[in-house]
Amino acid sequence: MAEKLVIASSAKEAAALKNSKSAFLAGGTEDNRLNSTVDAKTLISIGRIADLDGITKKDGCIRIGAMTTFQEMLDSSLVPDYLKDACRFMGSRTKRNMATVGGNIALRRTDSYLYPTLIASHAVLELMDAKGEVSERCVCCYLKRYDELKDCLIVAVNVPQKASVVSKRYANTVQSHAVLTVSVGEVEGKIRVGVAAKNTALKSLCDISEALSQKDLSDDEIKKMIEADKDLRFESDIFGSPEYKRYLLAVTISDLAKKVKGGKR
Amino acid sequence: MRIDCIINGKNRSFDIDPTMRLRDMLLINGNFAVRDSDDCEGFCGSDTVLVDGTPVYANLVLAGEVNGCEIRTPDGLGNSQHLTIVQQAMIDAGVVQSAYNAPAAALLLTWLLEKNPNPSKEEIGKESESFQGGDQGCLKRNLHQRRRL
Repeated sequence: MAEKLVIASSAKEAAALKNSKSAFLAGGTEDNRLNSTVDAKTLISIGRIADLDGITKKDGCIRIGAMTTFQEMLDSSLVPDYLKDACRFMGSRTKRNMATVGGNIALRRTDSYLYPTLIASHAVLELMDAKGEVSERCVCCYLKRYDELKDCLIVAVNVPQKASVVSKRYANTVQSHAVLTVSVGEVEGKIRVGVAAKNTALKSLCDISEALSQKDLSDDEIKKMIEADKDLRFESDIFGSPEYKRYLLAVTISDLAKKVKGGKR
Repeated sequence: MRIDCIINGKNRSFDIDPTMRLRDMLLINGNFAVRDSDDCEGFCGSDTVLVDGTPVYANLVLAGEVNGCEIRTPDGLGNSQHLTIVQQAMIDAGVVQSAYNAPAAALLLTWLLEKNPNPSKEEIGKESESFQGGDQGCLKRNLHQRRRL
């Protein structure tokens, strides 16, 4: 547990306070839980910053404030259905009242509810640095350059209003953490594949995405590309063997790609 | 840090560490019906309270975050001499499975019925998602029972 709590009154104040020994406190479902992955002496509460709330529409994009909860996204008429599908992966209604989109992104959990969908839809984050300057980064760039961006405050996430994205999540129960979540999306003619594989990887499968954008791939072709991906080194555990997980990932990507290309959500 | 809030309709003030869990603060206040059946892991639902009208898990909220807020706990519903209609319905339906989740279930049912006096089966299903394990089924049966009353 943290030793100090600071209630920030503005996004700039929160961003300026962040350092290696502190963490932002959003919904609290990870920061405050038993065995949390967050280790911080000081928590900077961003729950009372109005600038981080709200869902708006602009230029074909839906801008979602970082403190928007999963349930608020589900209740919104603006949030695209493909993102609502990902919000429903969180089984508890009460937890959905608390957990926020910004918190889920910042945690980068390998069983993330939202990341595969955000990768597949080419979501763009608004990040505020310690000087209060806001820049935009696509969610894949945020993952790749996390060490450089980790102290930035996530202000909002922008997702395309019109995108074809389908997702599949594998877990023991709806309340359990997922062993594998996969999303395939098509935005402006480009296919993107996002994957969250528990204790293994959270990433965009760029090679498979490029290939799928050019042509259809067989299950075996996808499986070979997965085997060649050095980040996807699955381990044997209660959910299955590495071979089984590679097979599951390959056939899921194949199935979702067919749905996206066939225009079926 | 001084925390001022309203708990079950009464103004309360605490001079406590703001990193204390809300559930621990409520225990200090005597709200023993806010249970903890998952050691703060945050999935069972027995620590459910309403903060400004929204159900949240009290173990996953810090005391410093509720300064100025209105909190409702299961203790505020009824007592052993005067049960609310929801608490009585839970007994009548025989769905009080444990003393852990039942108080929170009564609070959540009350919240749902205050918002929507005639919830559909789908809405009942959604609300029961907040509990883990066998209490989920009990909650669904209770709400169906409530619809028949």
